[in-house]
Parts: sequence; structure tokens; C-alpha cells
Amino acid sequence: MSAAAIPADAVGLLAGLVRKLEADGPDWHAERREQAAACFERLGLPGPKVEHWRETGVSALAAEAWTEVVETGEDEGGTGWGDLGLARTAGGGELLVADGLWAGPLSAAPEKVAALALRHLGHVAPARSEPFAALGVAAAVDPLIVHVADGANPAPLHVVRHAPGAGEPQVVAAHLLVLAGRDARCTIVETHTAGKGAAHLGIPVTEIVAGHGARVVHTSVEALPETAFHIATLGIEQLAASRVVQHNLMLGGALARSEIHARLDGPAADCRLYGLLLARGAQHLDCRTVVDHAAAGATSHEDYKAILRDRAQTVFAGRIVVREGAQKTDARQQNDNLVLSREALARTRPQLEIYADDVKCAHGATVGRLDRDAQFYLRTRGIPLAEARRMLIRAFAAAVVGTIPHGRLRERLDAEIDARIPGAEEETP
Amino acid sequence: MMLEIRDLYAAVEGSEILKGIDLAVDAGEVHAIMGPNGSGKSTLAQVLAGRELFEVTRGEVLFEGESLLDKSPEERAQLGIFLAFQYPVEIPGVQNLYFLRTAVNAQRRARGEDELDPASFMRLVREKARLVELDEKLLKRAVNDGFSGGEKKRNEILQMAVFEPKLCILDETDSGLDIDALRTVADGVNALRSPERAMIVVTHYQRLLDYIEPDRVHVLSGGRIVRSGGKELARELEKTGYGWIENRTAGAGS
Ligand SMILES: Nc1ncnc2c1ncn2[C@@H]1O[C@H](COP(=O)(O)OP(=O)(O)O)[C@@H](O)[C@H]1O
Ligand SMILES: [Mg+2]
Repeated sequence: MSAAAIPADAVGLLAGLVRKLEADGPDWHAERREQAAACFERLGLPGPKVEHWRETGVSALAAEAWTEVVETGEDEGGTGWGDLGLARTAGGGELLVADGLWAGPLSAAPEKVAALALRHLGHVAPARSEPFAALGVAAAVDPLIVHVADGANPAPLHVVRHAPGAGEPQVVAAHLLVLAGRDARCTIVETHTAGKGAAHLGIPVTEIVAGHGARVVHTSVEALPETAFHIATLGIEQLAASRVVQHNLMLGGALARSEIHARLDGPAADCRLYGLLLARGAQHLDCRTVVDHAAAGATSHEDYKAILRDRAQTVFAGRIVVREGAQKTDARQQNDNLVLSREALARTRPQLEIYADDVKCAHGATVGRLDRDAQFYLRTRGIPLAEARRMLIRAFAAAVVGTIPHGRLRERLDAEIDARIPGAEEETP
Repeated sequence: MMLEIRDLYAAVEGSEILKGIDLAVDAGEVHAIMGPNGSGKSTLAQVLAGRELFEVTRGEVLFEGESLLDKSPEERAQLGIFLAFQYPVEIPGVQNLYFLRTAVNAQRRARGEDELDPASFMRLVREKARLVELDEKLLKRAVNDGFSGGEKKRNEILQMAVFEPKLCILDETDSGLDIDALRTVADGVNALRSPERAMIVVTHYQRLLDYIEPDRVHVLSGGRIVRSGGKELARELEKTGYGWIENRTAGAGS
């Protein structure tokens, strides 16, 4: 993406669009949206001078004539991601109440859930400092709230985010707040898909609050058409002894970026961030993670893999902050990039800020091609070249794919990985 | 003749390593190739297996009368050529068992045979793992990943036993093995000796040849076979070492 100047009116256009939306929810939410819109105007769109936006320019999306803001709806099928064999909700009027799970729009939330939402909605994600988080909070008229009662362990939930596409350039909003109570268990899959053709700017915001001892597994799949823009924000707040496992699967989009901000606020919190970026064509996929160790004795473990072909580009920027007093922190970060063509470019940037002395912090990054020796070894056993490459590419992703607890989703991902295998003509000697 | 190598020259990055190899190996025979480090033994083995890194600049190789050099590594394996690597490659993320099954079935498909059903495959692998005394736990691990030197070599022989190739090329399968492991590996190899099968055993030492008795012994030096003989040649080399060759080559070179 070029780092051209951002048209001055883009910010005004987007802020104007979100302000036009009618809200159904409580007044405090309307106020919060207005605050977020004001934040967005103040922050503006990030230019090339903003450190963590250096490698990902947004001028192309700013040049688009966005006409309306819509919220995501049902997946009518056809994308292949709509049916993963899990209980589904699209965040509309649907309510699910079972095994201590309440899932539905903010406008229908029971008093207790609404009170929790009042405290956390728009405050877990960095909506005051990140322009797209602010825009996302401002644009989502009726957020989906998932509340899991203390000690409850409901069946996995699939939140389907699908934008059918209307032919007009659309901004697509989706705001999800997950509240996992004390010792609650919660497994959520979020899929982001869209119909082909229309210009699409997705600005989803997801917020997760993991209570004391809670276990949350959140898997997000971004499988938009390769023409879409998608800038997603995920905020995570973890109390003591909670565990959050997150899978960030980025497959589609012309320009897709995900920001993950995790704050480990209680002792012995455990945060696992897994990511898989599959980039081809002229795609630009970018992931930035910020893990903030604010309490002692917490663990964070990041494992991000990218597979690139054609002229695709990826960015991984992983920042770890260990605050003063966050002793006995155990933070690990690994980013591996498999580059399958000469023109593809993988960038990786670890950033460690450590203000405590008794901590373990480790990070590693690799950028490499398919192992020639391993290919030869497999072929000398009679395995054809294409199959050998398929095995090695899948093996590269296995450390991430293998952590996903949903069989159908794993199979679907393996198929996506297979589809990324370049033909023999692309083989680089 | 099963394998015929005629006047074979091979180079890597412009420097010539094999400089005119002639070798004929018939079914049922075991040939040993010995020689000092750096003489080109592994290069010859890898060229036979189809390594593209080495450029064949002259000569030809016939396998069962057909030219081998224009065939891909997988085609050669499917024809029944197996190379036990001097340095088996570690492949993290690919389970050993899955790899073995993929390989067996790829070879069977290429030969127009049905794939093995999972139960028959497991029976076959278990039986062969016992033969080479390979811990079954290693079947569940990634291919050679974190295996000890001895485990890697056993894993090579396991594959050989499972594939039942026509031509086995063993590249220093003995190096790095203690005496017990050496005996197990040799037993595995001897179990595969048959009138239909040929073997090329590359080794630096006489030791392995105490267990695997060769029909012919060749000494490779400076990319050429400088001497050939019966099994007594191996014993002679044990006594004299390779010093005489180095003197001779140095003499010839100046
Ligand atoms: N990949 C390579 N690149 C450059 N030189 C090589 C390569 N492989 C082998 N050689 C050289 O070729 C010669 C023969 O090596 P090799 O066949 O491994 O010998 P041996 O197996 O008999 O010890 C050595 O001089 C070695 O340095
Ligand atoms: Mg060697």
C-alpha cells in the first residue's frame, strides 16, 4: 500500500455516516457512541508518520466514497464458513439462553447484563487511542452481548458476521462484548465474510472480559473477498487466574489488519495468542498485538505464522509491556513466516518494554522458504513434489491450526492452506 | 544389469566432484563403496537419488535398462530406488506414521497397486519397527524431529524395510552408531538381502562390512573409483588406511 496523503474529507465523511445512525439501545450507549465518534475525529486516519501504521497505509480506503454504515447479518451460505456445526447467532434479534449463556443485542439485555455492559462496552478495546476502534464503537448501533454466568459452561457459540454487499461502498460494523463470569467457560467463534463485489470496509470491535478463573477460547476467522478492507480490533481484559486462548485467522481482504490489545490485570492470568495469516495475490495482511503485563505472575504466549505467495505482504508487530511490579512474568512470542514466492514480503517486528527485573521474556522471528532438504527427502520416498509441498506447508501451520478445538474449522483451514500452494512454475531454485 | 553408471561426472556450484564413475551392480549383489571423507561418496548417492543441487555434466545412469537421470526423485523412488541418508532430515510438524503411509501409498499408486488399508498398514509398520528395534513412540513423533543419531538411522532402515525397494543405497548408515545399534541395523539390512534386490553400502569404515558381507568393494577417491576388489579389499583398507590413496592422488595431481 502506498503511503499517499489521506484526503482530508475522509474523516468527516465517515464520522458523518456513523452519526446519522439511529440507536435502539440505552441513552448511555448513544452517548458512548458519540464520544467514540468524537475520538475518531480527533485521532483522524493514521498517516505514514504514525509508528505502528508505517507499514500499512490506509489512503486507498480513505479515497473510497463510502455511502452507508450497515451491521452484519446472516450468512446465506456459499462462503463455506457459515456452518461450522456450532450453535449460531448473527447478533440480530436472536436470543440464546442455555447453560448460563445469554447472547443477544444490548437493547434486549437483562438488567444485570446491561449493568456489566455499561461498565465495559467500548472500554476494553482501545477506543480512545486507536481510530478504527473508535470508529467501530461509534458505528455499531446495537452491539451483541454474550454473558456467561459464574461457573457456567455453555456449548460453543458461533457469531456469524456476514455482509451480503449491496453494490454501494459500505462500512460494515460489528461490536461484540463477551463477559465471562467467575470460573465460567466460554468458547466463541466469530467469522467475518462478505458477498463479492461491493467495496467493503469492516471495522469490527470485539471485547472480552475474563473473570477470575474464567476460561475463554475465542477464534476469529476473517475470510472476506480479496477486495475488502478490514480493520478489526480485539480488546482483552483478564482477571486473576483467568485464561484466554485466541486464534486470529486472517485469510481475506485487500488490506486487512487486526489489532489485539490484551491486558493481564490479575495475578496468574494466562493469555495465548495464536495467529495464522494466509496471504496471496496483492493482499496486505497486518497484525499488531499488544500484551500488557500489569499484574505479577502472569503468562503470555504468542505464536504467529504467516504463509505468503505471489506479491502478498504481511506485517507482524508484537509488543510486550511488562509493568513495574509485574514480577515473575513469563512472556513468550514467536513469529514465523513462510515465503513461497520471490515477490512476497513478510515483515516482523517484536517490541519488548520491560520495567520489572524478575521476568522471563523470550521472542523469536523467522522468515524462510520451504525447506529444500525436506522436500528432497520426502520426494526420495516417492511422494510427488506437490504433495511434499502440501505436507510441509500444512506442517508449518500445524502449531497454530492444531490448537483450534473445532474439527470442522481445522479441516476448512487445511483446505484454505492447500489452496495457497503455488504451482511448480513458481518454484524458486 | 540392475544399475549401470557410465562415465558419470557431477558438479556443484561449478566445481566438479564426480569425475568419471563407472559402476555396474546386478540384482542380488551387495557393493561397498569406501573412501576418505570428501571423496564424493555422498554426492554419488545423492545423484542417484535425484538431488537437483548436483549437476550431472557428463555420463549416464541406467536402471533396469532405462535412463535414470531425466527422472524426478519421486519417480526414482517409485521405480524402487531407496537412499538411506547420511544425515536424515528433520521434518517438524509431519508425523512419522503419516509420512510413512503417504509414502507407501504414493509408491503403490505409481505402480498401479491399491493403497494399503489403515489396518494392514499398521500391521506392516509394527512388524518392521520390531525388526529394526525402533521404539513405536517414534512413529507418533514428527519425522526425525529431535531423534538421536541412532534413532534417525533406525528410522531410515525402517522405511527401507517398509518400502521393500529393488535398489538400496545406504550412505554411512553405520556412522554414529554404537555396536548394538550397528548390529541391529545390519540385521535389518541382511533381512532384506534377496536375489531380486541390490545394495550399495557406502561406508568409511570396515566395521559395518563385518556384518554385511559385500560381493564387491570399491574405493572412491577424488571423484573416481581408484580400486575395486572382493571383500578382502575392505580388510586390506582397514590395515593400510586411506593414506596410500591420498599420496597417490597428490602425486598424480602435481
Ligand atoms: N552442497 C555442496 N556444496 C559445495 N560443495 C559440496 C557440497 N556437497 C559436497 N560438496 C563437496 O564435494 C566433495 C565431496 O563431498 P561428499 O560427497 O559429501 O563426500 P563424502 O561423502 O565422500 O565424504 C567435498 O569436497 C565437499 O566439500
Ligand atoms: Mg558422505
